[in-house]
Amino acid sequence: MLNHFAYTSMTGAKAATDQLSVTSNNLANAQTSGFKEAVSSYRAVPIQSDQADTRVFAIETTPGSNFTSGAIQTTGNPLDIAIKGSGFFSVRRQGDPGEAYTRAGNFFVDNTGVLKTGNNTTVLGVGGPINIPTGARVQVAEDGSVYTQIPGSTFLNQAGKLKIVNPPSASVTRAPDGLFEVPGGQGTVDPTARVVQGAVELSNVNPSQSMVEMISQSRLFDLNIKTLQSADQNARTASQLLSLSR
Amino acid sequence: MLRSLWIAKTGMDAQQTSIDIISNNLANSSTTAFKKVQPIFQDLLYTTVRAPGAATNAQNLLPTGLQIGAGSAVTTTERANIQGSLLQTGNAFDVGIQGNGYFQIQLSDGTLAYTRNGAFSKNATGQLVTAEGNTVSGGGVIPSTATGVFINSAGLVQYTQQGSTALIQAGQLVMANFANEAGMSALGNGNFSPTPSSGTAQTQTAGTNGMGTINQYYLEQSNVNVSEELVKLISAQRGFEINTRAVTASDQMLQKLAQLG
Repeated sequence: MLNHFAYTSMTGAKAATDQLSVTSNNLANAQTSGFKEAVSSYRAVPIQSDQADTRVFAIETTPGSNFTSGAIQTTGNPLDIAIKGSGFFSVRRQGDPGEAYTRAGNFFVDNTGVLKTGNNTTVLGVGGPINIPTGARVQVAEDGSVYTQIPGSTFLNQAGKLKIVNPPSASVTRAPDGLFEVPGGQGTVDPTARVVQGAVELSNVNPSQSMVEMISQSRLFDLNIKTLQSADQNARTASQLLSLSR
Repeated sequence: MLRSLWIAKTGMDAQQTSIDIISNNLANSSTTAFKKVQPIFQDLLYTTVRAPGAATNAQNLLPTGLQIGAGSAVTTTERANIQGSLLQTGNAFDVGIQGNGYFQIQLSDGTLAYTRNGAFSKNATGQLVTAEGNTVSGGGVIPSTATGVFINSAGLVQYTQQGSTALIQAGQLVMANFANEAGMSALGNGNFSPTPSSGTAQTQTAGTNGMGTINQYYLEQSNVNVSEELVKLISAQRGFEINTRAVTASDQMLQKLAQLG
């Protein structure tokens, strides 16, 4: 019979493969604009019983995301907008009255002139969606105000102001579609948020850190497999001791 | 099998698509009026393996859950409609648009398409045609006896005849614009057709209501910035490599598992 410590090692190996999934996802999104690295950690789960507690299982958790800013890349596209410092753009999913938040500022205009994000969610202004007239030149002020100007005219029209919220990062969770949400609430508008036009925020994944994490996960897995092998070896030796045929 | 194997695969796929797009941009760095295309990366769906607050066993509750993403993908390709620089050619049938808008042309099957490539010429009947022989809407007919052809900034096509300085009008170039020009579908040869996401064509005279002006003797150059594309190529190549490392790590784990027992 296999000693119980084999099962403890099994949880370690399992947690290492789970964490490798999180790291792989971070690496796969090393070029997704506005992507925030998912933070992962191991958690100890002691097995409590009437006798002395000898074993502690390991499980893998993702307590949150790393909200540090990514590098800002200048693209020259007038509909690319990056937030300087903290804050999120507010967007609305199709058929969903609630708000979601994103840092990815590569916007575009749909066939009706409404400002949208790449995954077809409507960008929200302080007073609702923002409309851009056909052929208009778009200028975004540092405070997020969107101005449109028809070429040839000197008239600058304010189309809206981007709704930039700044909820405490501990209250922000990641929705299944990758957008961020504040469960059971909404972020309040941050009047001090500053944006820059013609640039997008890159992913904040640090590839060297992720590569090192990957190495450590591989070695942790190896170590747990070694322990499993030794449990297996012990069990074999034990069964040979009892064997009558020898 | 291991999730990470498939997650890394989506990363490799996305980087490969990115390299395809960069190659196409580089190949078209001298194509008249070509607009560079940028891949937009997005994270795929997240699976909540364990929600925060779930029980791990009879005694314990999890203070934080486990959420694993499924990788990344190139969800859209965005055409950057940035003005290309205008190059003087000296050819009377070359016209470049400075600002917004597209020339309207008629394809051989009769449907309308739109292009910014103004390298026009005359066909056998004197009509203004594109390099592929599609007629330019509003180009009119320029007789073979014409001595000079003039296209003004509003798109008015005029010509003079032998022994006279009077300008005779041949046509007026039709210009169109779209609510979302990045949503047009590329037909190849620099031609685009409207789609439900681009909105319908809104025709205007050049130089009015936000439409660009027309410059005779000029062609719009490709807006591809070669050094920018090369830097992107390096970053995509290394991104691909890093994802292959994640595949290798997963593979080695599986190998060790298979050797157990």
